Amino acid sequence: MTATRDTHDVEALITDRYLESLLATRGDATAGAAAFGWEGGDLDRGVRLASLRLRRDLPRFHPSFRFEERLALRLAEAAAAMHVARAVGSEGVPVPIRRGRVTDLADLVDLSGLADVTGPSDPDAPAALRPSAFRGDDDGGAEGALRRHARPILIGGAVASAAISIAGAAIVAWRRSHHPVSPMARAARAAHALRLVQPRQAGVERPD
Amino acid sequence: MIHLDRDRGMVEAAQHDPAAFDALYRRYLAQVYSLAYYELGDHHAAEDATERTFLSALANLARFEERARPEDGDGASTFKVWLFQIARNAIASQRRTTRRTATAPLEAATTAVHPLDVERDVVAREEAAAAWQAVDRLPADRRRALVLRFVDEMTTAEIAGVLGRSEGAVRVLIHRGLRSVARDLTGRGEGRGHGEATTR
Repeated sequence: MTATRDTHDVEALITDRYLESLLATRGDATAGAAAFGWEGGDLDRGVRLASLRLRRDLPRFHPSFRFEERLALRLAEAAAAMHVARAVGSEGVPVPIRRGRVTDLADLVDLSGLADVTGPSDPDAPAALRPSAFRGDDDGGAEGALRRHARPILIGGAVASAAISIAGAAIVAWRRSHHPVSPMARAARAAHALRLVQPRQAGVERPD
Repeated sequence: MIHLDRDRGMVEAAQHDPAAFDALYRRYLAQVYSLAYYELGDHHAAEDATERTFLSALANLARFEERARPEDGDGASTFKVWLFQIARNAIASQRRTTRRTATAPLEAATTAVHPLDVERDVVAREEAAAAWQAVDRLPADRRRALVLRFVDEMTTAEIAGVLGRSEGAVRVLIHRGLRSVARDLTGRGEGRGHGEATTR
């Protein structure tokens, strides 16, 4: 039983080698086989002739030109749709987003460059505007920041640019509201100083 | 870096820009359609299966991963194997809705080979029809293996990948298929005469 099986395997292997040589050369089938030294040998004669017949007589079909171009057009349309979908970000990674502060959107984008803007050593900056807040360092890093989010969205070009815009607007608003020497502050300080000095001067000049 | 997959350039281009899939489509259209035609035996059913195959391949191309091995050789294409696996599924799905008709390919296979020599053309038509009928009478797995080997000119390793079998099993399938075809042709009294003709 095993010997018979081995015999079949060996015959199948010989047939496979014959077909390798036969199909390697296009054109005349017998020339292809002969070119590789296969004139029969150990191969069963019937198998060899059947191989030659199938090599020669089994055609490769081609669909109609109309079908080929129609399918090509359909594939092009599908490809264009995929391209558009990719452009608007539908192939982005779903990332949860938390509600609340406007600056939370900054968690969704890379804002490492903002450290230069806000300054890591600026103690007056609100916690939400410190670089660590953008990176999610305050409560467990980026993973912690993602865990805080509640609503899933797709990250794409539109959302990312919106996040940058809102974060940028928040930073500019804070910088404007915390201007170190505003004209109003200077005027208030000047008025306050005058009020403190005048009574003392009056007292000095007032004769006892 | 050795490129193991002969289609790697085109596949990467198509993964980057789906419009570039057209090159892969043009390369494999006839082979996929031929397999569908031999399997389904109907022109329209073969077109439907071919269309499903390429649309599915385009939609899933981003998930395709090249897995060619060094021993597969320079001409190996895991994309081709992947595409034909999709085709096999599409054909199986199509078969469930379309009854296979074996007579249609006979007519297509016997188009004029020698249009200027009527006698030779008749003989060629008869021989082509006999070869097709011999293949068509085979069990489905043997017929499929022979079509992939002789029509689509796949290697044993590629056929094994498409059919989900070992290379040894595919070799045995093909060998037994050829023996059946030989018996069929000999029974028609063609084997000896044809053998003498082809070896001249």
